[in-house]
Amino acid sequence: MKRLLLFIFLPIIAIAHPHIFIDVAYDIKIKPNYTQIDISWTLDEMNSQMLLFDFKIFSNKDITQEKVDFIEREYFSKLAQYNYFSFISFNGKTVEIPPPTNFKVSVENHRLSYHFTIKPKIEATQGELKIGSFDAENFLAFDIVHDKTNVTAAIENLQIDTEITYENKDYYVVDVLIIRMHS
Amino acid sequence: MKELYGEFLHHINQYQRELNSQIASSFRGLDEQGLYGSLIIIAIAFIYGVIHAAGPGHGKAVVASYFLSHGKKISQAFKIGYLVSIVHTIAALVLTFGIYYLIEGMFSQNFNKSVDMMYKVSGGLIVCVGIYLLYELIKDFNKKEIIEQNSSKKPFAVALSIGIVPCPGVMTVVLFALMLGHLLVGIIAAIAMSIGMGLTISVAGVIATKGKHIASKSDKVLKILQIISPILVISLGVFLLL
Repeated sequence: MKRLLLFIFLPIIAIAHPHIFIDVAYDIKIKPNYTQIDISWTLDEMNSQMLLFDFKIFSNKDITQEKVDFIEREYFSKLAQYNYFSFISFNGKTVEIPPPTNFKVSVENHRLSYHFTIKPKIEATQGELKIGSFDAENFLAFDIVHDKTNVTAAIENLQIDTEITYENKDYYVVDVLIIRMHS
Repeated sequence: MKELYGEFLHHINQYQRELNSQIASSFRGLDEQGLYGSLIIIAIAFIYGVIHAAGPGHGKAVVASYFLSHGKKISQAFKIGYLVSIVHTIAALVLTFGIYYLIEGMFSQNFNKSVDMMYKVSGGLIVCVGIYLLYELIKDFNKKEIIEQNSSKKPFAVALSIGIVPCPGVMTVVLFALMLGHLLVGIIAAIAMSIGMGLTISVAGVIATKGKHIASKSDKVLKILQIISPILVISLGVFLLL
């Protein structure tokens, strides 16, 4: 029922519209059996302020392991139901997002950042790897930061070229990073 | 069409991202900037409101549905747009102050819970308004003559039902101002933002009123619109309740 209504009304009503703006940076290392993707999300200043106030973090000095564990448990891990707002496809096939590891938190210029790593299994030979972050409900708006995104390949003779572009996702345009690999 | 809409949303998001960060940095520099800084914040907040309400939501669909059958004068669309924005602002201020001063615990969690709750309240009220419009329609049909009466209570009911959801965008700005200790500027910025949103919501009503004027040349189309209008309003309310 909800789906039907959503289909009818989405163009005019979709309840949510972005209230949280997130800058995304990717550091990607292509390895033979998997790809390591280090993701950083930097929240907008106003939402950062609210969360930092809650976490009682005023500078990087206030970040203790205890607080990081708390944020991971109470906030970050709840995003599993949204696949951590990440999507990956390789040669057009959707790649499963494995549970993130290495969760970290930092603060810079009053803005809160989450850092985490995912290692999807991708047998990189040749083809097109597509990576993006988006919220289908458009409550969070993700934006890939060009000069903070790196791609390297740890495979001999593998040539890569990258492009940040955008793509249509059901009434919504999202930033995607496209990595083309060829030997 | 789908592509165009996606692009449109993308652009709106980009503008909002920029304005959002401008408001934040202006608040940080407010102590040095003084009055000039406050005026800048108010101006940005107004534009932010206009653009923010141009995205999906904010009751534009309800206003448009209502005016499809009840639209008479353009001035009425503006009246209702501004009624919505007044209720919107008051709801946002009350809830933000409540979260800030009364409720112990995490802002971020209370924030989302309270907004979710208000969506349900709003959905319920919208359904009630829709049913009321339907009831009036059936009453009119039984009379066998359609008298275009606009009871003065109806616009208030519509405005209340959709405005009661505080805009999380406004709440974020107010909460941010409170945390930085700029209470007054925060409230004025919230008002400026709501006036901006009122303008956009009014435009939805104006377009629907124009549409109705064109349609009312044919009695048949007008009748169909009068039946569709309350059904649309009810469905939108149900959508929020689900």
